[in-house]
Order: sequence, then C-alpha cells, then structure tokens
Amino acid sequence: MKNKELTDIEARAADWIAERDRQDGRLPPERQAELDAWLSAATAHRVAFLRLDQAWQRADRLRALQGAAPVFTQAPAPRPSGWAWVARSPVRHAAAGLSLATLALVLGLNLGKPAQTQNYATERGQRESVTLTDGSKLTLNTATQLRTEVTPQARQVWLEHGEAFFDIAHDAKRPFVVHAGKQTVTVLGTKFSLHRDGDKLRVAVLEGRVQVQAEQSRPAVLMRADTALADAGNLLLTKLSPQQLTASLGWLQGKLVFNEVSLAEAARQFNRYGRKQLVIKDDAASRIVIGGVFDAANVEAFARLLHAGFGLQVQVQNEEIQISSPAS
Amino acid sequence: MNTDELNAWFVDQVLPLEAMLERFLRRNWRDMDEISDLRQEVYARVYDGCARGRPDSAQAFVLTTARNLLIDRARRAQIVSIETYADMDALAPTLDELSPERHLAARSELKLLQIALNLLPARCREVIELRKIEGLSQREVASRMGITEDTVERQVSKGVRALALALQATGLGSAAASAAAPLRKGRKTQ
Repeated sequence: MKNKELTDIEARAADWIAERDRQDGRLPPERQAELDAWLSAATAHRVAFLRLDQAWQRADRLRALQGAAPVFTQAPAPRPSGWAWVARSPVRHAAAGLSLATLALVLGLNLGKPAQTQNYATERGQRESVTLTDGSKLTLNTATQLRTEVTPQARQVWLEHGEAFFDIAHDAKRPFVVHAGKQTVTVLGTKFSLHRDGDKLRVAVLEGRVQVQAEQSRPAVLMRADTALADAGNLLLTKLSPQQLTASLGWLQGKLVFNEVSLAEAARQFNRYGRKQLVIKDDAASRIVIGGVFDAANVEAFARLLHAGFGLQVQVQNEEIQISSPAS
Repeated sequence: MNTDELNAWFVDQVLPLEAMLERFLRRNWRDMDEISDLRQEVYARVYDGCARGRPDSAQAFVLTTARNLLIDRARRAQIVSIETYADMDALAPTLDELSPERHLAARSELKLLQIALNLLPARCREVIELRKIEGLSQREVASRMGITEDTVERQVSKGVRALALALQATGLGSAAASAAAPLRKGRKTQ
C-alpha cells in the first residue's frame, strides 16, 4: 500500500467520524448503511476507521480539564438575559447556554399551571417498567420511588430514592429533566441509568448525551460509557469499559454482575434486593474478591456458592444469612 | 465471532499495542516514511487473521504478524539485510515491554491527550477543545465560534486524524520528541 492510498482512506474514515459526531453519534439509517458498506469493502477501511474512532473517543477524557484553565481564544458567548444571569451567579461562560436553558425550563414550569403527575414505586426485589405519554420508557429497580410529570412544554422526573433506567424518546423541544435531590440531570433523547442513595447520585450513560448538574458545581456533560458519581457539591467522572457498562446494567435482566468486587460490596448489592440480608461477620471474609453473574433474587444460592467455593460458613437466623471465615 | 465482537476485540486488545508496534517497526525498518503503511498493513492482517478465531495473546499475534510482514517486504524488495533479520529474531525482549507501558499509559492518558491537543493547528484545536472539553455539540461549537456547521465538521475530521497522529507520536514515550517531528513533516496532507 502506498502512503497516498492510506492518507485517502484515513481522510474518508475521519470524515465519517466527523459526520456521525455532528449527528450526536447516530447517523441516519441510509448514511449508516453507506458507512457499513464502506467498512465492509476492505479491511484497510475498517481498521483505519476503528483506529481513528478510538483516538476520537479517547479524547473524551479531555473533559477532565473542564474549567481547569481558560482554554478559549475566542470571546465568551453573549450573556443571556439579566434575571437568569443573576439567578445563577457562579455561572461561567462555558456551557452556560445549556444549563440556563435547564433553569429557565424549571422556573417556567413552576409558574405554569399545575401539571399532571404520576407516582411510581417498587418494593424491595421488584422491578417494573412504565411508559410515559411521550413514549419514554422507565425501568425501576428494587426499592425505588419516583414521580413523573409530562406536559406539552416539559418532561420531568423526581427520583426520590432508588435506581432507574431511562430510555428517553427524542424531543428537542422538550428536554427531559430528572431531579435527584440536589442534582439535576438533563437530556434530549438517550439511554442512561440513575442510582440515588441519599445525596449521592450515580449516573451511567448507555447512549447519547446527558448533562449532570450538582447544586454547587458546574454542569458536566456525559457521553456513552461515562459514569459519574455526584454528591451535594462534587462530581467524579470516569469512563466504563464495555464489560463494566454491561455489569452496571445487569439488573435490567434481574442479574447482579460482579467483576472483582469485595464480598462486602457484593453483600451490599444483594441486600438492596432481598428481605433476607447477607451479613459478613469478619474482615477476612469481607475482603474476599469475587466475580460472576448472579440472580439478584436468589441470595440463598449465592450463599451456597460461597460455602462450596470458599469454604465459608453459612448460618441462617431469621432474616439474616450470616457468612464467616471457617476458622472463626 | 461476529463483526461487533471482532471490532470490540480489535479496539480493546490490538489498538492499545500501537506504541509497541510502532517501536518494533521503527527498530526493524529503515524507511521511516513507510512506518504508517506498515502499521496499517499489520492491522489489516491481524483483523483478517482474527476473523476466524481469537489468538490467545493479541500481543504475540501482532508482533508475529509484524515480523512476517517485514520479512515479506524485505524479500519482495530484495533487501537482504543481515541486521534486519537479526533484530527481528530478537522478539522475546519486546514481549515484556507491555505491562509497565500499559500501566504508564493509563496513568498519563490525560497528559498524552494534552500534549496531543497542543500539536493541533490553532483553529482545529479550538474546535476540539469546545467539542471535547466543554462538551458542546458541533452545532453549539459553530454558533460559539461564529462559523458554519460544515466548517466545524471539516475541522473535526481534521482533528480526528491529527489526534490519532499526535497520540501515536506521544505514545512512543521517551522517543516522542524525536518521533513527533519527522512524523509531522512526513504527513503534509494533515
């Protein structure tokens, strides 16, 4: 292969990546078909595309630099209207447009007529799917409570506690806003999961873009495979491997997926689902590292495996399954 | 293995070996202008070779493929260079290079990206910064910079290639400084 040929292939691949990026990561079907055809035409096309695409996705890490230093050579965007500017005083020019849109939406709604709200809740161990009037689908995990409100102007959810997966119907005119305590999550059309535990909120994005805003901090934009952990004032952002992403959504099939987690953490996960609680009695046992896919509803089977696999002692007392090291 | 699995495997297992592959090619091939072609050819052969089944070790497979390619090329070009063969047989030491390198790469990924960003032309860099650091969409980038969306898309396309090139150069580690310059000169089309 000659240099020129490779350069041409890379230029074409980069054009595809740029076009897809312009479409928010999803090409229209006919363009996607053209891309697939181009990729299948030669392995040289495919490997060049995969390589450039990976470089492009690696660059997502750059978001860690958000707010670190003035990165613009350009003047900041024009200021939005006065009241909004005052209302969110620590607003910085970056990404201000988006967060202000969110704020305006929330304020606008509060001034409007009372809208129709729905309450949904699941018991421990239950899982339930609901479809909202806009076509969005919500799946509630164990012990979850949330309230929804869909009006012609806005779509909102209040996540009181628990975990839910959101498959949001695209509607550019009506952003979908999830309020979780002090955090606000804003999306247009996407798939992601939220897990709220008190002030802590964990976000994992399967598709599209999601904006997360903690009360005191600047908004962060998450993309596919990003996960964020937010508390009242902080936000920690990391990238999930494909395996981790799958693992974090295992509950949609009623599964708990552990990948090198401590037994203590595994027990914590199981205890969200069942009435029977796993109690790890000693440190040595709780530090055991395990992995695998388990039925979230069948903690007894898990306990039996611990006995068979690690020789741990299992004792059942009322609603407690006590696990301890063999010696103790 | 279906295409998606193969793609995922290629991205997860093969692409992270790029710096190691580049070093191997550079050490064993004289004409630096041909390195990116060779890399591309290795990738294509590895991808096709793995369509039927995954090798146990991606690293060993990549290096063996690279070695065979260089031998093929050397034969075809009738360059029978003793040092070429001698070096290519010394594959064993390279096999140990990976783990510390991967570790380092994970730790300094952000640093690498920052360096890569600094290598981009100014306008392209600004587009990439707004898109990747601030998380703006291409449309938002266009209105922020006062340019058309088509222009943004073109800059992103340039940025994709430039980032890959810069990451590859910076990924070479200590050799980065010397490697980056000829690389950039050699690719006038970028």
